[in-house]
Amino acid sequence: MTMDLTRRQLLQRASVIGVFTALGSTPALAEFLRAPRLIPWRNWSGGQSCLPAARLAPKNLDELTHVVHQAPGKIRPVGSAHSFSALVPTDGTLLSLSYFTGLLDHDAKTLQAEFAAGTPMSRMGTPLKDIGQALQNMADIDYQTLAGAISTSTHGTGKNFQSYSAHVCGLQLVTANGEVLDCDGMRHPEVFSAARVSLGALGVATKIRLQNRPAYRLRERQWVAKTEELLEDIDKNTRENQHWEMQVVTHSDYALSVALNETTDPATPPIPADEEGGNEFVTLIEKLDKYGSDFPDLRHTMLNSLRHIASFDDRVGDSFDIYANVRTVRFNEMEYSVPAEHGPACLREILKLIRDKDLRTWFPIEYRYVKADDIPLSMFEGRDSCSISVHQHYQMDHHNFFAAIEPIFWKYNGRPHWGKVHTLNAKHLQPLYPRWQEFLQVRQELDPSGKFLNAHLSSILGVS
Amino acid sequence: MRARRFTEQPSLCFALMVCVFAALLAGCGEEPKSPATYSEAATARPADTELAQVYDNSCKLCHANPAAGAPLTGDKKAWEPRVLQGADTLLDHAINGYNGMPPMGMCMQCSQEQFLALIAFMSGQHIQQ
Repeated sequence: MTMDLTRRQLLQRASVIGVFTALGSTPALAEFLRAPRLIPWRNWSGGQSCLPAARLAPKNLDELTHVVHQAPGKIRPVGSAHSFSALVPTDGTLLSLSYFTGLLDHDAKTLQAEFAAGTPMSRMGTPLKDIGQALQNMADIDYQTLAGAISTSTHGTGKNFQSYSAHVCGLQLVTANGEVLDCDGMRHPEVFSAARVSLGALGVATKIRLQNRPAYRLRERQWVAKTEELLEDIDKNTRENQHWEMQVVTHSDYALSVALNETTDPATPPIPADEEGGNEFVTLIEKLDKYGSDFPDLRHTMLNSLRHIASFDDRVGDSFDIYANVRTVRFNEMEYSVPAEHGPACLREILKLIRDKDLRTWFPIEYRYVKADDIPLSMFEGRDSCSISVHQHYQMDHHNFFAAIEPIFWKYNGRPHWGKVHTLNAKHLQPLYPRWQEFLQVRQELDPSGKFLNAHLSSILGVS
Repeated sequence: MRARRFTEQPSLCFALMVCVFAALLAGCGEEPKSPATYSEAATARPADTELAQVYDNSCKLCHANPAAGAPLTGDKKAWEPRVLQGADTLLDHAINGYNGMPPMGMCMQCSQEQFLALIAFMSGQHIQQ
């Protein structure tokens, strides 16, 4: 094979070879090749990513205020990257609070405790127990940091239990101009009210005071039942259990019902570590989908038959051990909260759509209840809610699946979880939140230049 | 999903089929770890104070928790095949995620050097760059 080169091409190639030869004779090329790789940021599922100009983790308040003051472009605070929505991505400064951790202060009389805002929720249970306190409720995943959890109104389940945000009784905020604001019901009450669910758009929370309760143990009881029967018994299930939820196995007629109730019974022996978390069950359902999706009737029958082989021992332990589960299978998630009374109808419609259209999914749908609160941007503001979460394995396309389901949530006036996938913008969101302007006014006063905004926040808040 | 275990009492033909399916799937798991490995993982900390703080708030959440399914800190046998893949692959998995391992390993600010130092600490082996 011959290659014809023009004189111009020959000169160009010779010059390139010359440059590399020159580099090779100096340490420059070697240094270039050894240069540290650019590290992108990705969220837990890998569905969100960005290449920030800087990834910083200040070690104390002085360093933090300096960063906020001096950072040239946008700043986005990040917790444990467990939000599925685009709250974090930025090409500016990504700000981690990973050095702001631990229990800072507590009051045995009021049962309040103050934590540094970057504390992972999974590291709060034991120090709280040591001072005789516990969180009033918890989500079933505890990967989040405290600041990340309250910024997105993260929640557990229980018709008489509110989200983490509703138990915040004070917080410290570093605002866009580097000012440090201590807020609570008396000091900067408007800021405090809005900052309990802030999406990280008001500033950087550095410490958070929570209203807790005395430490307690929980008994977990689980059973498999027909989804329709569980829905018919919703009032009973939610009345007789402090924390009740169900995990609906799609493409089957069954769901796993989970009830947690306070108890003084002694703790049961720990489950063998390798069996904890139920991830083997998730893997089995995944495989049934993988090999059975071309045979929907067989898959349906096999999924239904799981009830014969799944059994569950009651578990008793410290509240924080019982609430949380390890997740070894990653996923993307969409969750909407609809008025509590519409929960069963909304779920039935979703399941009918999945069945009728044979939508490709296998992850169970999570169905929970949350009590109303009074926080401007809380999904639960002014209404008792039913939260319905649909998931898709992180390697499966979630866009088409979520796009098919999302209009059903809209029909029931659903409010999307701020940290989970949705497609709404300010035009759609404003009518869902009666106190929308209250939040926007606080944001405008604290950050008129939009230092803490990224493209997603600009879209959902309707500000630039 | 919070289901935790399967009984050995299938009562229907399909249940039996599912059991067989489950058994086939379970065949490729790792050997069970000893309780000694669990306690070692729970107490191990990098000697470097700053790295130790990073470790406590990121890697440790999974690599000292047997339920997470991640290779435990100090479990050289579990780490060996990973380390053999080389620094580039280890870094790629730490930064971009791999199976159950989340991207960034929960450390949003870690540099390449810190990721490698953390992997070296957890695996108990030098990572050749």
